[in-house]
Amino acid sequence: MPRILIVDDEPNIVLALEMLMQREGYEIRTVGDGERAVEAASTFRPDLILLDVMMPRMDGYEVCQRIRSDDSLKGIFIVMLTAKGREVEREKGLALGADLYITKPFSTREVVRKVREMLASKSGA
Amino acid sequence: MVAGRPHPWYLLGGAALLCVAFFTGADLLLSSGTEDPVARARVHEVVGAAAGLVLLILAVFFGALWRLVFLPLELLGRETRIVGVNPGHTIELPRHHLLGDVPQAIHDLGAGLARSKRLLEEAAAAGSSDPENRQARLETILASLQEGILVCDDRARIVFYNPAARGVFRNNSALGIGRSLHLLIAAAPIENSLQILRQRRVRHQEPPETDSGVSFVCPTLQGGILSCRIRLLPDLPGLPWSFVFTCEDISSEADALGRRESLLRATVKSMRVPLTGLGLSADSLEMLPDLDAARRAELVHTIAHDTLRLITQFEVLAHEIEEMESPRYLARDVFVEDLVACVAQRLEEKGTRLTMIGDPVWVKADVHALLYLLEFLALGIRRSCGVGAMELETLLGDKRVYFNFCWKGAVVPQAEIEGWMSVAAEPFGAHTVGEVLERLGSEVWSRPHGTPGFAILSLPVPSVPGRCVLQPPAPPARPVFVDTPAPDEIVAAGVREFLPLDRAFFVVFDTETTGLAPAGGDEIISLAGVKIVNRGIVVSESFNQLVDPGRSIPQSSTRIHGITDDQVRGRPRIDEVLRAFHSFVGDAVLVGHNAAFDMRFIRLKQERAGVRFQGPLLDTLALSRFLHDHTPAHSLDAVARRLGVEIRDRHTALGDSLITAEIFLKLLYLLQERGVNTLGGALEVSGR
Repeated sequence: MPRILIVDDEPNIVLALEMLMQREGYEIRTVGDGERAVEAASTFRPDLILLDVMMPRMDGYEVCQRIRSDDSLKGIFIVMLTAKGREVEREKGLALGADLYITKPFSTREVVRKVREMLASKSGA
Repeated sequence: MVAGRPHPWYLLGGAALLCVAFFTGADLLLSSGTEDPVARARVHEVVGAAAGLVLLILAVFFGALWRLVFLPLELLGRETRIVGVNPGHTIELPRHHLLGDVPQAIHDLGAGLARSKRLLEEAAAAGSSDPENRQARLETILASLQEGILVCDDRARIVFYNPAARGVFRNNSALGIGRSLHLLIAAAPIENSLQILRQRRVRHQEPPETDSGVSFVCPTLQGGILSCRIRLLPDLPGLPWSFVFTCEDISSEADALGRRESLLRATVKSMRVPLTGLGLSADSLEMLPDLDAARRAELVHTIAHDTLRLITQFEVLAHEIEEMESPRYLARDVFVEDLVACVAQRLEEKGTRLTMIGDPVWVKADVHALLYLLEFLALGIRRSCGVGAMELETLLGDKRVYFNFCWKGAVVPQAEIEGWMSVAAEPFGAHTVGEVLERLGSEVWSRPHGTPGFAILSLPVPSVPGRCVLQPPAPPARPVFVDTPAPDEIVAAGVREFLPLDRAFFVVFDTETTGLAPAGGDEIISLAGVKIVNRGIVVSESFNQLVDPGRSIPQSSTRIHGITDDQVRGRPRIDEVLRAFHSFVGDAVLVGHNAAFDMRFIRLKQERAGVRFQGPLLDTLALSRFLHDHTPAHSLDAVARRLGVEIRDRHTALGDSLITAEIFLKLLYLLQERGVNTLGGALEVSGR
């Protein structure tokens, strides 16, 4: 069963995403800030991380950069779900190693579809 | 001959009368001496013959005197006047005269005059006099200002304006010395502001220097929008200056603001409905827990649907906002190589080497912010990674130019970059580096380079990859200070006769045409004019327009003026050009060489253009004939040569207008020497 780590400091969003992903049949872990996200990446070893960017103390960009610079964490899909909607901000996310950058508000159907695709490609490859 | 001087013919008449009187007297005396009729008859004969002989001798003598002295004297008088305006002029006299050395003496005097004139000009040009330098410096500064500045007299007539003003008013030909400000913008805001300012001055007894004036926004009569300010000037004795009007074109900012406003309004409007729906559905779900499954499902579906609509509308808004890059007014075209060289020099002083690699490009961005950020980032990389040398490469992206720093070492951690964002950016007042970055519309990130061991820091700058757009060369930029006539001297058309020539405004014009038959299908192909104000040609204003004649130009005509069909194709038609010319002329007196010819063309077309050139007209050909009737040569070339006017750009409308203008100035001087001082007098001489 694929493992998904959800990182966001907004409780409502975390709740909604958790329910959706559980319904898809994935194993879920949720955290509310960047430091715990980096920790959980090593301990929980998710296949995919749903990552918010705007978080206090350590933002999503930094989380992404840290995970990508750690060779032991290679192969994790990172999907940024963020309210930072400008073009340059999307570029920054992708440049720092995100596989996908989705701006809020987003269509849940879209997110579910994309997550399914990415996980399928991993297991297929 | 000027009235008042004794006419030589009177001398002869007088002498003849004296002669006749003498001989009549002698005859009477002698004949009264004898009673003999034969003797008397003899006396009459002798006296008659003697009288006849003496009269003949007188006539011959006088004729010779006339040929050898009086006529040459009169010609010498005229020629000397010409030397007065053209010291290089060679005096032309009939070969035989009794004036001796006088012509040569006058010629030498003229040469001496020319020499001293030249010396004076050279001394003035050497510019060692301080006021001249100061004025030159002021003019340079004024010419470089982006704000339009107009100085007006108390009737709102323009006495002075700087080159930027022409740009602000988009080269409207109604902008000119002596023209009214009301021709450019509506009178009401100007008059209201002046009234307020005058009231202020009276009520508060404040010296004008401390009054910052009245500012307002108003439209121009051409459809642009200006941000303006009027300040009263102190009363300067001898100068007609009354107020300063400064202006700036804010049309594009006003447009952008307008677009943004309408976008916001449209969005708010379109969001009301889905928001209402959402609210109602959510409320219903909450307040009616006992709703049956089908109704619940319906409500839920509505919620989802309205949410989607809201999201869609939101995306549109977000997209539009991103499209409108905000501080466009800060963006300037700059060549990246120049920019980087500047940064590299500053970094060198701080012990860091920056090398530019790759092809430099043009970028359009806030130069000030870029310079600061590039230096700041380079120093940050040095601190964080301990490197003293790095490279900078610019890459063109889609609507962005990337400034990529590259060095051998580790990546700059995102946490550190975050820390940079809250550093105070000194040159930007109360702003942080992060705020400057946001205003630039940019972000900063660092990632590993493709080559292992190397790292990159990227600064993408939103920019239309700027192209070097050369500003169209500005027309000669010397601002001209001019005194306009005092109000009582400007008279209504009917009383123009008494207007002193010194105070009149003139427009000297010339046309080039397809041929010599205005009524026979020939058309104007070029129209030019220059202004003369206060005995000087206004260098910064001229009218010069090629006209599409709507027909082909015959070869014979092109051979003279050099204008071909290609040059006039697509140019404005005569209606439009005449309207602009009419606006340029205003109420000035028109002057031309053989002006009647050009006016015939203009008068034929003026009704169609909706304008009337009904002001007075002066003809320099007629004026020249009047002043120098001893010679038949009055073509433009001949008159120019005679008066010492340089012939340049002959047979172009503008070139000929300038030649005619300079000739006209000299003729004006000569006319005044002949006692013609008013416009009425000049018109009479010119034959109206």
